[in-house]
Amino acid sequence: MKKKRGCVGFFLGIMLILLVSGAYALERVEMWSYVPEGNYLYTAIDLFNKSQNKVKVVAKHIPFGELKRQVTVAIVGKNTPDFMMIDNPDHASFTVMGAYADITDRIAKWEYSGEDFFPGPWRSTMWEGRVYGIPIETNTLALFYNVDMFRGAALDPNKPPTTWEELTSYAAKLTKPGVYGLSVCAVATEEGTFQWLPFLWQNGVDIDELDNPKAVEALELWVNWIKKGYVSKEIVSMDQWSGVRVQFVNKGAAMMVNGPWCLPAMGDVNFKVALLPGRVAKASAMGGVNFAFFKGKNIDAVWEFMKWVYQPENLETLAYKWGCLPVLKKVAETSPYWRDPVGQVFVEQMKYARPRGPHPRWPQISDAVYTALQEALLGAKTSEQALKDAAKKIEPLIK
Amino acid sequence: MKINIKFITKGERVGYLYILPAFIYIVLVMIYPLAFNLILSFQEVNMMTLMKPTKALIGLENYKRVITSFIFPISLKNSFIFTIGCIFFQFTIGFAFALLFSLSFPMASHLRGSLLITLMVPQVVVSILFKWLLSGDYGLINELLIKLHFIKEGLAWLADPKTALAGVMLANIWIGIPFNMMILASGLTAIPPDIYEAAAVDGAGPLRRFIYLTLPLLRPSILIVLTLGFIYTFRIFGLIYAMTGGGPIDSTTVLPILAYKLSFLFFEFGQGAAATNILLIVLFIIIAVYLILIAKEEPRE
Repeated sequence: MKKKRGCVGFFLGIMLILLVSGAYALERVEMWSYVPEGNYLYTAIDLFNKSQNKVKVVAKHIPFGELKRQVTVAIVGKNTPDFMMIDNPDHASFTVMGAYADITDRIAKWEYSGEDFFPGPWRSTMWEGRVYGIPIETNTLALFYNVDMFRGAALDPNKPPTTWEELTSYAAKLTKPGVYGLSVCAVATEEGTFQWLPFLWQNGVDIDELDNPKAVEALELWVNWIKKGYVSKEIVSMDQWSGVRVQFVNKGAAMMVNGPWCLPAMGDVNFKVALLPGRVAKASAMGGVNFAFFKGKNIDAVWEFMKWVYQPENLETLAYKWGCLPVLKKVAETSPYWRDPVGQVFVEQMKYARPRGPHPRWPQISDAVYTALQEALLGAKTSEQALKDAAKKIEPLIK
Repeated sequence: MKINIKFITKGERVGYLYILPAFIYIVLVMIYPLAFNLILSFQEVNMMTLMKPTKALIGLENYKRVITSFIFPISLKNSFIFTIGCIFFQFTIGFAFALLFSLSFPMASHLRGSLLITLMVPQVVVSILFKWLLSGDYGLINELLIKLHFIKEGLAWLADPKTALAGVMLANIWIGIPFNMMILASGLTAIPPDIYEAAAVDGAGPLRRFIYLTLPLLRPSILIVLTLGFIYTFRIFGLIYAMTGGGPIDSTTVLPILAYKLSFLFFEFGQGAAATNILLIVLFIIIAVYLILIAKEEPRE
């Protein structure tokens, strides 16, 4: 009797060991991002995990405003995750801090190279000629407009504004009691900088020349809109998603500057999309996030996930359900999801989308820009003075 | 006076052992961070140098950068306006309440107790509460002011750089009144009522009694409540940050918010440390003033 019990126990023990070791053969990698729960990204991660049993990706959500702080704390405390998604203008700061792994050699052996990606997003991952991440999601700003309101103001919906003068005059014609001709975001955060910079760039100058008269023109454009009432006075506190988009969808504005993340939530508005106006040049701002990998972590395991994500079908579905553009040029140009007129405008606009930075001190530069924006819009300073002060703040940062 | 260690009795030695845990705690939780912060303010620590094993010592460079920045004079001015304005109203209103509750009337103690609620509500909750009260479109405060004919149409309190500081001051005054009331009330109860009777007999009216009896006798309480109030108010961060984030256009950026921005938005840790030390210096000066004023009290030997 004792012998039999001993045998059974022995076999159970072996089975337990085998089961447990099976679980340990699975490599677990952790990712941090600010992507809100409910986004298709988490479904995609599930699909990857179920499709093989070597690597398990565990994703942790951290709110946007907190992400950089928590990552900094983790870096100092040496308990970072394996990889993360980082907003593209912030990529350079962490690279310079020494947190991210140099993956230039991995990319060299990969099926894709920098050329396969849109140039703006790819540039944001680079520092001093080496690669420190891979773009995953990209987006840009374009001009949305309400077709019915255009007709109501005797404007041709097939001829959207293409210059600053046209944009302003259209906004004037479309403004009536209860409806603003245009809506933009001018909040005192990165979003405000993100929305105004395209106009600075369209006039042929950049943040290193904020005291240039052309920069003053770009700011006066916005100040004029608010003075004449073509935009709401509240734009200084309206963010892009719950402010500008909501105003447009509720038919409180006839046009808005916004991004493709709005497309899944446009209500019943009959709208079209056009390129942002050009002046000296066509330009828009580039948004989006990049994957970045922490030094000394299990990047080989993470790379299995990368190989899966960047397969054209997977990337296409992820981008579409996320509400952003696929970062691989080939996928973006051939994807049926982006063949419609709206999609084509965004794909075209991506060609003129410029990244912010990359500069390790971008948060301070951005602070100077949106502070100047608010000072001029709220009438606290003239545009010249506001930009002069901003230029003085930025000068030591970009030396 | 020579201190002779040989004469520390066994009892005293045991006594020192008893306070040792508390002493270690204070060193770890208070002295070490203070020292670390002080050293940090003399080092070049930002995004780029954070992970380097040794950080360069740059002397007073961080202090220079903070003091010569655009935002420093604004934040210093805001800090003083905010602190002095809040203290003034908290003190006078708290004093009025203390005087009111020194009279006994039915439900006095219940009412006085209910005022303490403002101290118990978490700062962030007060922020959210006052954000609603001060709302330009549907705020109660605008309603009230319009009905009382003080203004014709609602002000966008927290969105207008001219009124935002007043808005956050209103919230803080509301919080601080009972603290002032409590300390002044306890000071009032310590004054023997016979003095008032004697003064009344001598023909002093209520105002003269107040100015020449109450105020001088309350001097220690008044000094402590003003000093503690100043120190506490000067350091306030959460309330203002939750209400306005320091805006609009830095009109509500006080020194603590500046320090936070430097460290956690710009990742300039050295400068953030310098900003907090400047705050510390201001508070040291205030405490020194308090100690001088209170020393005048001591009877001369």
